[in-house]
Amino acid sequence: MGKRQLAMVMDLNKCLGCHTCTVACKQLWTRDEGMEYMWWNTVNTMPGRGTPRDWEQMGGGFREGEAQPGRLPRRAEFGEAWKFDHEGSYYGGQGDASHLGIKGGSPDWGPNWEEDEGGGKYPNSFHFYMPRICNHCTHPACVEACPRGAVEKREEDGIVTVNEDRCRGYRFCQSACPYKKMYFNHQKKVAQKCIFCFPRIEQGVAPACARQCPGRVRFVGYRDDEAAPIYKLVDKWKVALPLHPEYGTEPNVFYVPPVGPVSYGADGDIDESKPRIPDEYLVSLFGPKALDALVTLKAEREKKRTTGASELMDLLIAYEWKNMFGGFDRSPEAVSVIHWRKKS
Amino acid sequence: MIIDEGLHDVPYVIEQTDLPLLVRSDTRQFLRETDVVEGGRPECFGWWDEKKREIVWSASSAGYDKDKRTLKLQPGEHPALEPTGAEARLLSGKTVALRSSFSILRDRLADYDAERAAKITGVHAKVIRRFAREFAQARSAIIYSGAACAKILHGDLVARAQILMAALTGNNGRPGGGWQEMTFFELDGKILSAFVENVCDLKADDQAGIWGALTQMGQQQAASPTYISGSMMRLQDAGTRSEQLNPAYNDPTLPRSPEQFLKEALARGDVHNHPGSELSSPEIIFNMFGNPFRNSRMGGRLAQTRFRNARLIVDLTLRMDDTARHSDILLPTAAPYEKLGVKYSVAYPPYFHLGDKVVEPLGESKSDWGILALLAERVSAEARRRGVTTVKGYRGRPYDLTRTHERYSDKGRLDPEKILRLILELSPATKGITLEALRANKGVARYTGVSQLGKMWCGTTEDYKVDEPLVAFLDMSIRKRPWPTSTGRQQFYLDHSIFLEVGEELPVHKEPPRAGGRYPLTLTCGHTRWSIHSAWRDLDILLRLQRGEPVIFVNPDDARARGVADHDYTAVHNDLGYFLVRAKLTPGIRPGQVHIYHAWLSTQFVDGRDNDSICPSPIKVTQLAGKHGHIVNEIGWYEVGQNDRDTKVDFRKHVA
Repeated sequence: MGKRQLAMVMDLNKCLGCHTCTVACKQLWTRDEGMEYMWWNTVNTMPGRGTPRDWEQMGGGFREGEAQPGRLPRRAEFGEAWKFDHEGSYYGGQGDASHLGIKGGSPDWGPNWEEDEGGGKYPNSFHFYMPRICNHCTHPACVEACPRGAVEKREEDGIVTVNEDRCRGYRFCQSACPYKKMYFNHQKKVAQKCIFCFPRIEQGVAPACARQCPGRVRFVGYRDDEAAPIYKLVDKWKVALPLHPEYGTEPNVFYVPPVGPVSYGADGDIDESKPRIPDEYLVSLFGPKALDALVTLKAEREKKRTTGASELMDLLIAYEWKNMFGGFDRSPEAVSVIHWRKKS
Repeated sequence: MIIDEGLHDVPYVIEQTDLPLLVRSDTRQFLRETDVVEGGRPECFGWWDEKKREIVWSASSAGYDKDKRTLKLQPGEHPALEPTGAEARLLSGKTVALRSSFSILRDRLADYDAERAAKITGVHAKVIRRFAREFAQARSAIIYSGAACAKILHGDLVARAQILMAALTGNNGRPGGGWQEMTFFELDGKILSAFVENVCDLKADDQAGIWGALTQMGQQQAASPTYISGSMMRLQDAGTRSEQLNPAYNDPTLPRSPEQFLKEALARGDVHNHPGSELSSPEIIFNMFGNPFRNSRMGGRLAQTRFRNARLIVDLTLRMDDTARHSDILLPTAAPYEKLGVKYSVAYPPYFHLGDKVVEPLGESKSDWGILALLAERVSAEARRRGVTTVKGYRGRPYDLTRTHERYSDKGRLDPEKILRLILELSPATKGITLEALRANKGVARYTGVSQLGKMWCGTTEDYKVDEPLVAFLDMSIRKRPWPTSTGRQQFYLDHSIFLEVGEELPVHKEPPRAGGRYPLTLTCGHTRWSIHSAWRDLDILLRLQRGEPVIFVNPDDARARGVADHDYTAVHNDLGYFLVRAKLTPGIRPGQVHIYHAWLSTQFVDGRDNDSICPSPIKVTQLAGKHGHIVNEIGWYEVGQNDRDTKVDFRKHVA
């Protein structure tokens, strides 16, 4: 057990699926060769097959402490970094016959393929967005699966990283991770993954996905900092829950489940007691505690609505963005030198 | 329901709306003072006083004594909302019965009980009743309207009905209440620096001078407009006329063809910017700040019409959009972070947003202002060299070409930074805000006041306080200043002959037209979150987070009925043609709806045909009204527009 553990809470009631987080991460970390197809941060429309496709059926993780077999996600299940024929379209002399299409064939999957599809039946359709990064688990399957000891959990903050010098590209980590958030660089033949923006963290700057989120969805901080929002949301109010706790890796990314709209009967009755997002679906994602969290959220919303005062709702509304980051609120501009890359 | 259950705000309705005003039973027009008083004031309207049993002329009227205009009722005044036995003796000696517009409205509303509304909307009557009651009884309720007139043919009727609901329930003037579209913190300095000569000599503390310059500018524009409505121009030379004027695509209850309404409006001069001989298809097109191929319905037809007819096409643009692809010369402009600028001054984020230059423009690109300055300089020099001085501008207005650069740059005194400083100095909304202060605060500053212009046009209000939310229309609801309409009230009854002829003098429901033909589905559109209109619509990194090419969203039942599966190539078609897209199936889309997010470039469609190519954009005949009180054809005030969301379509699986 390390000294401390960094954690993140994402409030799914506020995520609007804009992918600013995804793009922030992409621009900062995964633009090099072999990383084009990687999205350390993804946002998927739920319910859906997610990314990589059907990752929840790929196994890995632990059951009652026992490592579970997992399978390797295929390239096609992540989707490729499609290229587009800008040159040909604009300067190819084809006039109105030119087409800015996907080069080289027609893909059938991508990192956000099922965007805005969701579930239910009109008019009781529903969907919500779920951003995912590496969960920086307390009991990380990727660390245990690596025979080289190349996947490391940092002592000081619990961030899980890959030591690319030690990695030999065996990819056991990829099979073992039940969240399928380990990526493989096919050019460099090494595993790569979300690093919780540790070079920023070390300078007191929140990860880019959190800092740039226009919806103020993400809270960042040490898990044990009782004065900060993570502790309050996870431990005090118990409204933030890990995704698939049954995978047994003890994630350090937590989700505030979506309350969602109520259902609308064919007879025109709006049934406040019947949610459109089925309870059993949320339980399948976040475990049985999801229902307790919803009860608390609804009660506190009502309290806020009627009395104007609720510690929980004030936290979630996040009037001041700085209060969301447990002290990691320095501006990236203010940090004079960040060694983003290892010098070669 | 709101009226039947007495949930309407009677004092508000009597004071702020035209609903108590009297309408003649013979002409269905408002009674005007000129009807009954020799030498009466024009545009002066009356109500029936229920105590005195006589007509009282409303002090709100546009034609009322200028210094005495107000919405405030005087002690002893009792306007009747539904007068009985009201009549007037006309100058002709004839006596006519009078009704209030409220009582006419009440008759009309009888057609719309919750059951009928349920049939029209597909929303259950119980929900409609609940919504109506909650809206009427809320401490404050707001309708924030984002899409109406420019989206559907009867968008004006929809908006008028929404405003009526907000007015009947007295919500205007309540914090967080009423009806709002886009309230702007208008920046007077922006208009001044663009249009007024010697703007550098204007001083912020000389409000009389500034107001004088604005007034002079307005008079010049009214006397000889330099502006041609894009929609009118499109009717003339964009190859869209037969679709836009097709009666089968328009309101089927129109008594005459749209073409006849258009001809009549042009003949009467109600639409001032009519296509006269001087406006034949232009020989030289200089396009800037817009992408007409994309932002006009059937815009692609420009390639075979206006753009084909032109000898030279110059496009000032920041990317290779559809218009750029059809131009001869491209003048590359700097992108947002490469030049100084101001962003939208919208009231819902009540902050001035500076867009500052953080990097030098790429390649040969320059700021828009800089490109035009260079062109103006060259035009002046060339005019001097050739001895060409005054030329005829639009409608024969003389223009001295040798002075082009002098006027554009205010004798060389202007540059982008100077203009920005002028905007800040000359706009009451930014009083006290300096460029230096903005830069020190990441380019953001709370507006410090409201503009004179903004108050008139945009619903901002004198009672704006920094650090409090802006409540629109307080000038009317609290200060009792008349609204900018003929009656000086929120005016729901429009007695222009076209409105009377087509039965739209009051907000009514009209069935959506069959734009594009008789097809079972409706094509809807909306703003994408992947781009700002078509800017960045073709960015690889964002396309990879979609499906890389245009898609429609359809209900799974509609898709199944047509044998269409997810990601099938699908032809969406109607009388005008078809476009090819991938299908995405989602229960979030209503059966009968085909949804496409906007702003795809035509080159992103597999065969270049885009969704706009099948939208016939029928013209709304009431938009051809003019010269009638506040219904005047003016830029940004009342014009013919476009629409796309009444387009009827069907779709089928496409096999290549």
